[in-house]
Amino acid sequence: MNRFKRGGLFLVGLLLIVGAFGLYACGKRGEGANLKISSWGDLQENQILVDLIAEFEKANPTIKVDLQRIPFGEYTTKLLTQIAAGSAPDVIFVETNNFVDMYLRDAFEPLNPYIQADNFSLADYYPQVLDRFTANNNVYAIPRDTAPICVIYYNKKAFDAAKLPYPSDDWDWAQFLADGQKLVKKDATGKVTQWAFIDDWTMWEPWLYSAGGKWADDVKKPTKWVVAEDPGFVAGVQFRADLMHKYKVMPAPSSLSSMGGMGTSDLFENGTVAMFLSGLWKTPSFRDHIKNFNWDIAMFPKGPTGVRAFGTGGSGYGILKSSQHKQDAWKLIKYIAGIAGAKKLAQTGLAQPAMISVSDSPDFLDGKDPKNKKMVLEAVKYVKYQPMAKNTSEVFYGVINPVLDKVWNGTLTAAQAAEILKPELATKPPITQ
Amino acid sequence: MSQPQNNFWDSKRRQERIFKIIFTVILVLGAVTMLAPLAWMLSTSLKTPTQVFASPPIWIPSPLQWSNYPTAWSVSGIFATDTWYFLWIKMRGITFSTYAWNTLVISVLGTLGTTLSSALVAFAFARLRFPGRDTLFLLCLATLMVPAQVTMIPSFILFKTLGWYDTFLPLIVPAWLGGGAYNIFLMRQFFMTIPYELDEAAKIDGCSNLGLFWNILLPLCKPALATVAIFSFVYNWNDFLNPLIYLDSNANKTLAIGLTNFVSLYGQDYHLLMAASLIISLPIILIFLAGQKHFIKGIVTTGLK
Amino acid sequence: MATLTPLRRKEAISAYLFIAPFLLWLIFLMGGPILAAFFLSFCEWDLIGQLHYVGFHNFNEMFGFAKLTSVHQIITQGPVTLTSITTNAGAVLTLPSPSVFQEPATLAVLQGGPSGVMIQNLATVHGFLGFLLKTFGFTLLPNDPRFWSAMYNTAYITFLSVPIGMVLSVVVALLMNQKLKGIEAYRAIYYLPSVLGSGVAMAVLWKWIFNADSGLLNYFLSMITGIPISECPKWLASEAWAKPALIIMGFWNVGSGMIIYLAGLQGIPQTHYEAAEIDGANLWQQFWNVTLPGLSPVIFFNLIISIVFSFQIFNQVYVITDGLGGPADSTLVMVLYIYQKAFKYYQYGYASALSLVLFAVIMVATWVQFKYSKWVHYEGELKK
Repeated sequence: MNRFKRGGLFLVGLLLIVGAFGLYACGKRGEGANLKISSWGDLQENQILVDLIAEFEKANPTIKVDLQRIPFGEYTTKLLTQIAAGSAPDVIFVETNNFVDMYLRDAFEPLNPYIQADNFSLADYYPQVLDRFTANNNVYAIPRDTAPICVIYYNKKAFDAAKLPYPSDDWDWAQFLADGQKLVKKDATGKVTQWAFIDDWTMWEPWLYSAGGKWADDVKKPTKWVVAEDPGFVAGVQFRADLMHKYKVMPAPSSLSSMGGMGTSDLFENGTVAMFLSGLWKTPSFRDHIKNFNWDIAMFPKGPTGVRAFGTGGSGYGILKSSQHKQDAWKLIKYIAGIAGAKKLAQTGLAQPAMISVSDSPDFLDGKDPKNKKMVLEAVKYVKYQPMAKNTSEVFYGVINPVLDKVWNGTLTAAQAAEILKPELATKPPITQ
Repeated sequence: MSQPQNNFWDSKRRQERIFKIIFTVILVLGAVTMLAPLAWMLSTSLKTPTQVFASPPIWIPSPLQWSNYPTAWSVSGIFATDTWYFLWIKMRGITFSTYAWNTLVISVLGTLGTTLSSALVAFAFARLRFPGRDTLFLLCLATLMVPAQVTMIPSFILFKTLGWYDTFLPLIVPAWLGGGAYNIFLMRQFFMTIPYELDEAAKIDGCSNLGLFWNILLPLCKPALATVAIFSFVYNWNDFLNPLIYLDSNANKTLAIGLTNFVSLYGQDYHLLMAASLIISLPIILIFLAGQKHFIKGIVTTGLK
Repeated sequence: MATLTPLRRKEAISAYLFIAPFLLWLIFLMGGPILAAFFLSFCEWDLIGQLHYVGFHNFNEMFGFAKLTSVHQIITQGPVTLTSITTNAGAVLTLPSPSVFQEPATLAVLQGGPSGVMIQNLATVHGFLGFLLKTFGFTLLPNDPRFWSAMYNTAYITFLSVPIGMVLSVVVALLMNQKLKGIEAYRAIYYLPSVLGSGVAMAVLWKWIFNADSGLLNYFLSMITGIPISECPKWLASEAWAKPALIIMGFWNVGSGMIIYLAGLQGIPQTHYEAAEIDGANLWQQFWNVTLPGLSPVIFFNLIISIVFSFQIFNQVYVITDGLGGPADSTLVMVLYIYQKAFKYYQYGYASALSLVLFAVIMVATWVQFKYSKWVHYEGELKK
């Protein structure tokens, strides 16, 4: 009997504790915020948004904003879950590719009525960047930043040691290769101690584009994938594969843990690689970490026919159609994607603002490393985007990349890859409806 | 007569000693293999960023960057303390971090619930007869065979309809309602290792099912209960997907999510990431070390008393 | 199922009370989502817009295939551009688009499939479909080749990691059960890797360990076997070695199986061992006749659970391959494919259909194991 009593008391105590926590767990809901915005970003980037929102709330005391920060890897997962359940945010942060996926599924509110009503000027945004978020003459998102993937960071000390002049923005593939071959250093056993080049992750698009290649017949309204038939594809892909296997200026995938670019920038930082292809976003990290050598940037080299082209990242803010507070959402976007937001972004050196005047100002061109920062302003003219089809991601990651993986590890040539891709791409034409 | 016996005992002792040596060698080799990745984590957590991927690899960085730990602690924002119930604890001279507290609450409540309810349910499946028992058990197992990736969205919609979005309830309530098929299955197997004569004897003595469960069978299952408790605690502590989906406000986030602060679109700070991961794993390691004595006693007897 | 005696009825009511928490969960929290997921297999939903019912379309897409027959073989001698083929029978087939071949190659011209005519380079076809083509002169064009890859990859990993993992866990548990000095520290050490979870930190760690050039594994491998590092497997960067790398990674989690077996070993009465020794059994006989049967309920548990979980392996693959499925889809496992379809490609209905198929496979595997589970020895089994 005693044991039962003790057991009983214990259970009751347990229930009380649980009940208490249960209530407290129930009550832990955010205060009634009327505007919800979701974004990704690390702490530094997030802080910019937090500050901007604070300023916005001060200027608009009737609007409260709730910032929901989601790690980039899980961004679409969580966002789609919320949309499916009807608890979507009002404003979302999107980038050039996930924007397309959501736009084509009718997620966004067209912004033209708001732009016209407020006489909001779009003139200061880079037209190429704004164009990505425009369809059928309607704007669906206001750009925040652009990130042309054309930045070749180079190690000045390595170039000096090889007695090479620093790369100019005007160089081409041939010059790039010649420089690269002189930059490779080996030790006594034949093991490479310094590679010439590596990219942040498997970035083959700039080679495709600068060889004159393209994905589909039209970017905005693709009807057919032409990439496998395009000689630019074979030229570009083969050149990148040759860098690894024929000229050996670039480490083959087996030499890295790179299935997603882990450690590649670290190789540049510790001097193992002399040239590194990425975007401007590496700047804060390089400024912080690199102490042993000077570095600068140059534009991605021109192709054999003189074509200059590369892909780009970039992001912006849009309003979801499901939002109940579209007017307030518009006010928020105007602020965070407008001059105030652009200036803050420029000052951190984290990304290139999408507004021309801010990019071309001392806020952005602050004289700190890299000295050739002005290059990215010019680069925006040459950016190319992936076609706007519902299945672009699937074709890119599910059909093309698995075959290209075999080219990068030397099993197939680019021409063979193109042959394999042709029938596969024919069975999966672009879906735009 | 003594001569042959001496030889016998010598050889047996030698055999035992040889076995002991072989065991120890294997154990040590295995332990080294198990520890190697962790040693690397520790080593990386004490490096500067450029040392992380140096080739050939650096095992012992010099100087040891112990400062990575406080940096990980503060820079990550994991350890922000900005909610009202912290003031309550702070006033008592203890500071504790939001994320750690949330994770602790979820883990403790989840573990308690799982251990208790899985034992209850498993008892019925193992020891009682009732119509539909085997079918229900099959259904129970079936719930393990559907990946969370597909049930996530309907679950989310369900929880949102119940009003449990952005609370701890979706993470804690299922633990109290059976604790999941894995634990029920595990406890059931353990219950079935106990001879049925025990039950019969108890019932003849007039014991109710609850009494049988609570007073007789449960104490015999301490190792199993401890196993369920440990697994459940580790699972809740490290759980990433569920808090990601069901929790929203910053005040509700857990440590596993806090780790993602080190991962951004632009790059990762591996040395800090390793430091933070080790900090987060420390409590579990300590709990395990302290708790093992209670359930693994080497070779023990179980009585039919 | 017949009417219950009053005693049985009392027992049944008592039983239902005991399992009430589980029933509540099954009916109110878990049942709905699972049924919803199954129902959605017959729909298409992009999560943003409307749901539409599409019947068996998803399953058609998954299992359907076209048959292609080889009608002609060409041997090219170097750079050539083909726009149409004349078969031996004299028929002229126009290719949908010109094909350029740089090197000499043996090409098979295939008829059938969505484009009507297709050319395959016999040097680059591989795998089961390549075998069919080279041996029988026809091949299949699945509607969804990635589905078949995913099933194959998942089965490969399961059938290798489960048996080896189980044997290892039992062996380690037996070792850990000895009364050796400091054994508690060893138990903690072996369990430690499972405690660290499988987040980004672990992924970074493993990617580094499996690094072909400067990673720990190849370093030790070449030290022990003398093979130079450049000849060692490329692990996560190679299609052939990525899955073995994942399987090896799984062995670090031997600690959690060990814990369960340790708990199970506690339940085997010492008296059984004493009786066996009196009967003159040596160590091996004791193991076979006392330990194993006593441990069999737990072994059975681990077998079922390992297979169920291994078929659904996701976390480690996702973080190691950044959600891509490894070099050339070689580590694309079913749940990763499901995840991609649902959240990257906005085809939630198809993802549900995939999970329904996976569920069926796992269910069949489990049912088979239960059917042939006579080897499991329960001290206290209760028949109906």
